[in-house]
Amino acid sequence: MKQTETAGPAGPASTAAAPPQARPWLPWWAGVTAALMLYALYQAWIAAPTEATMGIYQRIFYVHVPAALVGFGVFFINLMASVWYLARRSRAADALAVASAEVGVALLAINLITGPIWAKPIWGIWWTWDARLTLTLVIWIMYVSYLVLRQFTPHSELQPRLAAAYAMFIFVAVPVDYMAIRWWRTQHPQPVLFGGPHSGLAPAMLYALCVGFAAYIALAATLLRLRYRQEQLRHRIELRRRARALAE
Amino acid sequence: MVSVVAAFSVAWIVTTIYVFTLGARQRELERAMAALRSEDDEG
Repeated sequence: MKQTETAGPAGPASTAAAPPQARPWLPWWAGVTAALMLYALYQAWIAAPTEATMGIYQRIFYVHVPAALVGFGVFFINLMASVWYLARRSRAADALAVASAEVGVALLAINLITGPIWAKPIWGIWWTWDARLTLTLVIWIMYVSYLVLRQFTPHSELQPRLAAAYAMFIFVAVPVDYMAIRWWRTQHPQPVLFGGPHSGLAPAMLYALCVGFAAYIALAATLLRLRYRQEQLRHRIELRRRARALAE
Repeated sequence: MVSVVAAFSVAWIVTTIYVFTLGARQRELERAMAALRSEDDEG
């Protein structure tokens, strides 16, 4: 994720002294992501068969599950980046940690909103405080608090260290949440993937789910890369401001 | 049917809001960097 400061197309007159950040990869990534999202939509709405018991409502599954699992994957990147930062004090690792926390919060928000929309017609209630739902909400709140903590603590060497330690603490809840429906009796359905002999999906449904995963992975990668570069740029601005303040 | 449309719409809306937020932040950062550079050039 190397960043070039000077390359790029000529910007408007007002930014002539500062060429915009080169992002030649962006149209390609965005195009691939949009195509995958459209294909995932086609799979979820048209190609996948209608489920026998839940009927059309089961189609929410194709957005609800990939958003959650890709969100958890992005939180794992946050954990790895935090460990990397604590081990090496790498600015890039810190930037990746911020980016992954923010993208993960957006993805988990999709999961948390689509869940009740699915629950209401099937369970007759919007929400229940079972282990899976409660843990997912708690994880989302903790990552939001991680971002708020970073935003409102003064920028210093201590801030990324504290954030990295906090990120390692938060992530403990993610595997527990993943296993919650296996360990405890919950209102949330039992796993349909890797859930033992009685779990599984029809091949057409599994294919639609895999396409959904691919679309969300592409979306998360695009957003992560954009946010990572922003964090790098923000750091360079901060360094320039500090250098100027010292010079004055 | 309404629930399914609502769920997919929510996914689209959350993604769109986040993308626009990223876009706004990018413009703000580029403006800040441009201002610093032009001040450095003047100085």
